[in-house]
Amino acid sequence: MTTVDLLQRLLVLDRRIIYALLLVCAVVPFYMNWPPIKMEVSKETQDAYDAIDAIPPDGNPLVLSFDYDPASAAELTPMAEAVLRHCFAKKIRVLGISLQYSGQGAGIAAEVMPRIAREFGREQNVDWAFMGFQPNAVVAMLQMGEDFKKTFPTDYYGTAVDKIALMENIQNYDQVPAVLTLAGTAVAESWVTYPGMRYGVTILTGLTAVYVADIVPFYQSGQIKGMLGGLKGAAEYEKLVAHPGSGTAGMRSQKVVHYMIILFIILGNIAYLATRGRSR
Amino acid sequence: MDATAGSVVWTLVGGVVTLAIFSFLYKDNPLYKLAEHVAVGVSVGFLMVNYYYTVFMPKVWDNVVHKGQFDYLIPHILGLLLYSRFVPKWGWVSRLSLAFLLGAGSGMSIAPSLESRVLKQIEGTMASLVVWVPGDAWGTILQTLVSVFLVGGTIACLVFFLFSVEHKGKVGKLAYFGRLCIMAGFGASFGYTVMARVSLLIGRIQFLTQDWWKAIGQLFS
Repeated sequence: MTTVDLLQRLLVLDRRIIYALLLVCAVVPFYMNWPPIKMEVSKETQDAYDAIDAIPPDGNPLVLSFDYDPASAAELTPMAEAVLRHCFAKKIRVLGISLQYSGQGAGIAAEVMPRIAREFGREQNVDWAFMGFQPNAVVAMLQMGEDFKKTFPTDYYGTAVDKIALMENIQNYDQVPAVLTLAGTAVAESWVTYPGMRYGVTILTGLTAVYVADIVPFYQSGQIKGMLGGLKGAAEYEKLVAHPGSGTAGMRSQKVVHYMIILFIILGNIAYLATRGRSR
Repeated sequence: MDATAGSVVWTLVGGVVTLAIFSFLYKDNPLYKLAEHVAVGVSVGFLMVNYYYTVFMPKVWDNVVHKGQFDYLIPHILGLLLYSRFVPKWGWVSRLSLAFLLGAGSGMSIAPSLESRVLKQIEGTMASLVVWVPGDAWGTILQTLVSVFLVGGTIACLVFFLFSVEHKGKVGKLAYFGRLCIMAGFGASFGYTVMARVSLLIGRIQFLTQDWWKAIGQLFS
């Protein structure tokens, strides 16, 4: 068998073999803690970290919007955990909301927020609160600009907003130092367009990797002050808070799988170019 | 069934459904079809129940029935009118609601969208061609080159979409450069998409190898 024959066979390789290799490349790094990861924190992530770090302790809260569903949880939940650890460690208050259209983000937030708060002994409704889900994201965003309490008359657990100490001083965006939206859809752009433009709120984003290229122009133009992109963004934030989690663990697999994909792209192109002349 | 037992059961179900969906990678099969249909059904059911409790009950029922605020019926009626499309004779009535939705939507979004997607983008692109990095000559040169490339690339991309001038000579070369920039953009998008999809796979593997495996252990212990 000549090299060209081998390359020709490569072009018709059963896709299931590639899937199996992909699976091996994704699983093995978990058990071997290999390859080593040397991660540099990007400017986008550092900006997001600095913006949150600048919020005064026990003052007005960071609004953390869980605008994603379980399909995006693999990328965005590690971000949520890392940001919450940062906030709770520095005694920064956090106000959780969810505007993702299906409302499934509320279920994720209701699991993540109390769990991380327990790690740091932070008190519900004093140091953090979760106001739950509101449909029609744009309308909710605009209404929060007028009155938070009308937008969320009760929290996720049914407690009236007047009984939540954290909400005492919160009337509208004027009392909000920054909003971080964790989003896997166009809702991140709505945060920029409406509260960002109309009310001048500091907008930070944590995005699924698919969506990063669409939102980068808003960061470059200064409309977004900081941005976490995909699992890499989560891993970078975990590095900044010195608490490696599932984001960092996942980056080993990312590295191996990416090498594999690049290798197959190169081999596929070589095989195509080598066999193109023969078919002519 | 207590909370822990319930959690174990649902984790086990989650693992089985994940594997059922992954089985499609080998070939289409009834187990995959079952999991797919369950996923669609559960999503729709969740959405309906969630909207009933977060929209209909607090925004319509409580306001109208308990508080007597009958003006809340107006948007409710407009919403109901949308269903008139199911009756061809009365389908035109739905246009009233659509007109309201279009008008309100346009009114809310045109000005801020223009500002954030056009004006601020132009401002961001044209901010400064020379970027000074204090005390770092190489940094200044590099950042300036990036800035010049950004402006040049933006202009070239705009020229690529300029169809009223024939793409020949200098215009053609600029349009070609614009095409290269657009392709580089697509490449970056593709790279990010691969990263996202791999992240989803990693998320599922983390679930299967940690939570699901632990739940299987709890089941047998």
